Amino acid sequence: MPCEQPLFFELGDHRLFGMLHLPEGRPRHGLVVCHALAEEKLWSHRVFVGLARELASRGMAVLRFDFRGEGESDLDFEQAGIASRIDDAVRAAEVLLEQQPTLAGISFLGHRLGGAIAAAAAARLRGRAQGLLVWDPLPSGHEYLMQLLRSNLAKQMAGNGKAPRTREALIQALEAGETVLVDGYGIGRALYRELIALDLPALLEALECPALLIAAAEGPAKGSTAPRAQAVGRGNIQHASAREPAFWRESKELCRCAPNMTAVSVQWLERQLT
Amino acid sequence: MAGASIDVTRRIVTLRNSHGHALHCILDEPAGGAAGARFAAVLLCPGIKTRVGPHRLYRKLAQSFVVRGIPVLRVDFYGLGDSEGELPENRLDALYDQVQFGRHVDDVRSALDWLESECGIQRCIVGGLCGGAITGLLAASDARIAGVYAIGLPVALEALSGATAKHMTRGELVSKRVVYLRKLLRPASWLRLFSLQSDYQLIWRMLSFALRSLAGRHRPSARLAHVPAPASSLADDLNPKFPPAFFGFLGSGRPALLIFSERDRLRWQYEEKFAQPWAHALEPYKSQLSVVVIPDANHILGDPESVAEVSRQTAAWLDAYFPASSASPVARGVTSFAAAANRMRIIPTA
Repeated sequence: MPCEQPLFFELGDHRLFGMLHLPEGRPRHGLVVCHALAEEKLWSHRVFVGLARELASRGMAVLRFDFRGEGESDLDFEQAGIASRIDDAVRAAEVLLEQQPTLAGISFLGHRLGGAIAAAAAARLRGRAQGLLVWDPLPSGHEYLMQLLRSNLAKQMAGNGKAPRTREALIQALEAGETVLVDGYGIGRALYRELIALDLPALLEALECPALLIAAAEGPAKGSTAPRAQAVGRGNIQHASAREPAFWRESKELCRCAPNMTAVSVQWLERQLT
Repeated sequence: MAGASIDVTRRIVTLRNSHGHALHCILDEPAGGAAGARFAAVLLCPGIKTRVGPHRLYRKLAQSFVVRGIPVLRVDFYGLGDSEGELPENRLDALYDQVQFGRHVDDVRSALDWLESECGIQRCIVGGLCGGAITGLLAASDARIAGVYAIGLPVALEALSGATAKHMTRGELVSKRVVYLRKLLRPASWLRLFSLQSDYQLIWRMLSFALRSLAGRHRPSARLAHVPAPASSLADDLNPKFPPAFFGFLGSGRPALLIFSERDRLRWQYEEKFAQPWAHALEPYKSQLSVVVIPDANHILGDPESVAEVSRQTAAWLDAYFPASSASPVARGVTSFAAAANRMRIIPTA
């Protein structure tokens, strides 16, 4: 029977929290999950618990972990950035390989911003990274920042019926070194600059392992047809889409799984393993 | 909030509830560990936001307890966070209602059992934000609960009320009315009205509320068993478990801190759907019941000033009711707490 083991692992002076999902018997593959940012992580949390359990039941060892600045890991949110998250992902992969020495290598799965982090970590691990899955990839950090700032505007609107600080004003504030709040998380200048410089296609260029990018085609998972693993891509990068509701955003649904994205991912991982 | 300065040790705790589910929790310990502490605090999963809470709120709040030598156990209920088990609901409002009926009370008892058996701690302050707050209150029939710590305590059932106009409180309607009156000056708002894009249900509720207020109409009062009779009509969506749990807890002489956010509808729901109908019955418990409203705050306390104010109120409450020299809650700590609370706007109960 698969088992689940919470743990802290170290990176320098800091501790990171992780959950290790182990299959019964010797694992045939390892997967490190890189979560989305801030509240997106919390809303989607249970989906990745479900995914890890599913993969463990299929013989894979899965390490979910919290980036520094998030969840139970050290540092305040404002103290962590993209670079620290890449270091964290690399360290998580090393921990999984240390814990499961029979593994020849590992794959990464990153969600949203975690996809770019996972891509950078996989590139850094070179031959030890055997695959990369990205769920709902964010091609541009700048575009993503705009989405985050929308949340700040919505909070202003909820409080005042108007948003006196426009998006442009918020960007100016970030440039000037002010911390801008998004759902209670402080985006500081360092994270802002790292975010707007983030370029997923460029990160994928440096990748040696095969990768599958799965776009979320929004809509209810219920009633959709079989997932379309229409992998279209050049070289080691493939693209697919899967119909799922936006389980990483606040919704009226209790999302515990992403069946179509999971199915596409399992199919691809199984193909990589054979 | 950058720069946590106090010394907190975090330890993973895996305990099992009565159904055998592994609940993965984190114990925030003061220097010297948790064993033998006079009190522990148990912060319970708010909605589905896991044992860290939105924007890691629980880690921030835990500091006020830990710095006073009170360890904090942060709990992921079964089916939530990293814990085992699955919840059957597909909709969040249905889940929230089950939480308000006591879905996770058994998990609280398991957490109390663990603190008692592993750390020798027999008295606990229990609560959290929203679902964590109501779960703490519902669990308080357990005598090991020394105090209830409730932020955004819900009194109305979510699936019935939600954010729909039908169940909005007077306070919510008044605040909405201010926004709508402003909109009268904007041509775009008139365009929305005539192009069928406005919230007509809300507009109708505001108008009918104003007319009913003028006519002085009241509905006959419903009755609940085991609680004092309310002085006015009860809301259709009042959680029937809430008044008995609340009066049962207060009747035992234990203290509660209720913190509401000024911009949170739950503040108005508490005030209008519970505190006003039972204003007279609540009078005898004033020394136990501390209610504060955090100015300009939203439901999740999503800015550092709100969190700092909550931490300050928490610290004052702990110092008043759970001083370092006492092994049990102080029965009349209200004087020292009131000094801190007076700077806040206290919810009027009349």
